Amino acid sequence: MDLSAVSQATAKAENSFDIAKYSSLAVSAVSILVSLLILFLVVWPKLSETLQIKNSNSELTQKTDSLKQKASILAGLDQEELEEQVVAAEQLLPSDKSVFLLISQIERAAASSGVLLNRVESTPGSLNAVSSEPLANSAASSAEAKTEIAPSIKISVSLTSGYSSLLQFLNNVLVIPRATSISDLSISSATSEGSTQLKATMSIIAYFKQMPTELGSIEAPVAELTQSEKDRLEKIINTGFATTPSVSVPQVPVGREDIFAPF
Amino acid sequence: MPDINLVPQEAKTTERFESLKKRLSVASVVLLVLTAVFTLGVLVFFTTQVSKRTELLAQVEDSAQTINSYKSKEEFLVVAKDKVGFAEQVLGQRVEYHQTFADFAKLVPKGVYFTDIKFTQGKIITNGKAKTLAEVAGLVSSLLSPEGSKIVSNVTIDTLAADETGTYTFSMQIQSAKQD
Repeated sequence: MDLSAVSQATAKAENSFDIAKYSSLAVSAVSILVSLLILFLVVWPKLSETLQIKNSNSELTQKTDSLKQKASILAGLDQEELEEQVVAAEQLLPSDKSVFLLISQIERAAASSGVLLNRVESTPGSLNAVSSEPLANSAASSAEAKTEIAPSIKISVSLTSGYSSLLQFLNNVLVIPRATSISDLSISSATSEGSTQLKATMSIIAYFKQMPTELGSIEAPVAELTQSEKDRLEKIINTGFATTPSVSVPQVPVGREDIFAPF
Repeated sequence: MPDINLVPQEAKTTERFESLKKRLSVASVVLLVLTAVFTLGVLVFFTTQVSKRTELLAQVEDSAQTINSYKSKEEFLVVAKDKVGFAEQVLGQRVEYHQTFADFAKLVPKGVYFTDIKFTQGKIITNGKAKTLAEVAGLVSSLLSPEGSKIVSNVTIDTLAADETGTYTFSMQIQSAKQD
């Protein structure tokens, strides 16, 4: 009797039983695999992305806070007061050399203190914008350290006066609205007819600085004026210099027939 | 006596297989549930952050517009600050000579006067005359006193000479406390 067909059928039945048996395991295995795939291919990158957004959100929060703070500072400023302060600041530190105005202020300081100006000398150089020229003609030597901070112009002054007038002049020069300083001061006394006259020479250094041409980025914090800066500008505004820009070199009549004829 | 295993080998295998199948099923279900919960959590977190970001961007935009509306104020402030800030620096460094003289005069004895004074590079070079030697000593002593040290330091007498009338002529160098 041939039993090979029976054994073949039995083997086939066993195989199909094994497949059914392992396929029930495969469902679980595939589900685990799918879970892991979801975790590593979808959830993990999304989580990283979300964490990046969270970080950028904290930066944005800071940015928003600083912008809000800046906006509130700007909102609290008085436009009219600021305009006055800018005019005063321009008097304090002009955008150009303003050499004629400076000399006229020195002459005024001399006249009001009673000193006799023997000589006023300057080499202003180009009177154009600051940037167009190196600082070759600006204050040199002893004021060199200060010219590094900003450009300046030097006026050499020689004068004769009494002691109290000299002190008054030194004070007057330092209270002119422009930022000035005195260097290389030299005083010698000469007694004549019982009274003592002083001969003094000095360099008056006056600073100038171009206006900033660009605003910083919108996120750049706004720096408010300190109280001492406000007081400084207030002093200039109160003297009237800031509101009357006509405090400058006086206008003169123009037009001559013979330009070599003495006046 | 060895154990007598009455369970057939095939039944044991089937039992082990069933146990493995059960454990695997439980693990897959647990992992699926965890994955679902975690995915949901991440999605909620992501949505929250994205909506927060949108809100923040809108706030930034609003603030930027507000700041732009105050641009002229900002320009004025920047110019004023730039200039006055620098001027303050310069003015803070300068020597107030009238004050220096006023302070210096308080230290000079009655019998001393100066014929010339030169301020250069933080140094005061001076020549003067004194009625007596005591007056010169008095001057030096005043300059070295605590009051004097506030305005000058490092006093050097270069020359000191008396003439037939007993008047002393001196030349000295003094370091100024504030550089010009």
